Amino acid sequence: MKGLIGKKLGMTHFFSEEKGQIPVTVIEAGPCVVVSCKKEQAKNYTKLLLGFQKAKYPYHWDKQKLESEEPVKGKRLNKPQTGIFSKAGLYPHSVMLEFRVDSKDKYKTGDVLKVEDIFKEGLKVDVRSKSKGRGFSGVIKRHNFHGGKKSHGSMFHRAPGSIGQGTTPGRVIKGHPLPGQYGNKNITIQNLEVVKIIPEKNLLLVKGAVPGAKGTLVKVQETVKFRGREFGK
Amino acid sequence: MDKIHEIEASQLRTDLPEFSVGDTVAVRIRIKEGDKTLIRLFRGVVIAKKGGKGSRATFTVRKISGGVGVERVFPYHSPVISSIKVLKRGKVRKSKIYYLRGRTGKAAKIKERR
Repeated sequence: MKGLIGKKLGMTHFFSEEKGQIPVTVIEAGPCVVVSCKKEQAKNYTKLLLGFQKAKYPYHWDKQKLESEEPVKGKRLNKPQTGIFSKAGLYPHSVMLEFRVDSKDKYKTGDVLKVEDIFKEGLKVDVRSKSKGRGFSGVIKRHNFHGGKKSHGSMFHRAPGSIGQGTTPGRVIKGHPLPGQYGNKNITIQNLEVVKIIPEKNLLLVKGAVPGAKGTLVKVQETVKFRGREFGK
Repeated sequence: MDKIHEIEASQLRTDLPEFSVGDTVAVRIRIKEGDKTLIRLFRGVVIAKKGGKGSRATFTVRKISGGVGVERVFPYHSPVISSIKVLKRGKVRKSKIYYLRGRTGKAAKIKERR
């Protein structure tokens, strides 16, 4: 599925002539550089590696060589990671993600993919990103339990309550909702509509919410719901 | 200006007239029915304006229809609004004249501003 790597900028709304006000998430998608595209023989699929956001130049690079380049803020890659890019003859990028594509003919190492190459208005996409971390949460926040009364002699407030029967079955059923880590997990939202594309600013406006805080990395790709069909229909 | 504000600023409408709370306005709305676009009129008193000058600004219009009060909230910058006409300027002392909700007839009258 073709797709791009992007950054969530936040939510706003968009007015359309037909549908009126639409809530949208603004994603800065691309430009992404093709690092490699090859067929994985063992797994029988074609793997497209995309790089996003330039990293700071590596320590061992010649500084004079870089003078033509614009200075980049942010993280440096380590040597093995840089090696992947220097092998491909590219500047190191701080994010690298894998996409499954149908054929490798369309992609060449060094190609730059932009929003307008991949997406069209009205298409449906899946968006994958890391949700906001809530830490170790109780059952009310994590599993939408109702909880007890706060007062009037109630001694049951936010506890999970009974978690099963007695001697039979004598254990807690697997998957029972209990407190634990909530959020900070990759979540995919399927079938979101592309409302608008602003190519000159690399922006993608997607209908609805996307997991994670502002600035989260997101992976936007063609929806799995329409595989094998012309999407958007 | 960050990118989200740029998107919002690009959607602001400048063709609609200025009006304030207490004014009587006639709002024409585009409604799509099948392939036809109809234009509907909603005439009443503006009882609230919210959302400041941003693209999220809305206003509430109240009218009495068949003895029943009807209120409608319009997004000011929405393309659904085809036109707004200010019929009367009203003189009010509050920014939200929700007290009209409890009043009918002469008690719900608003003084005209000149």
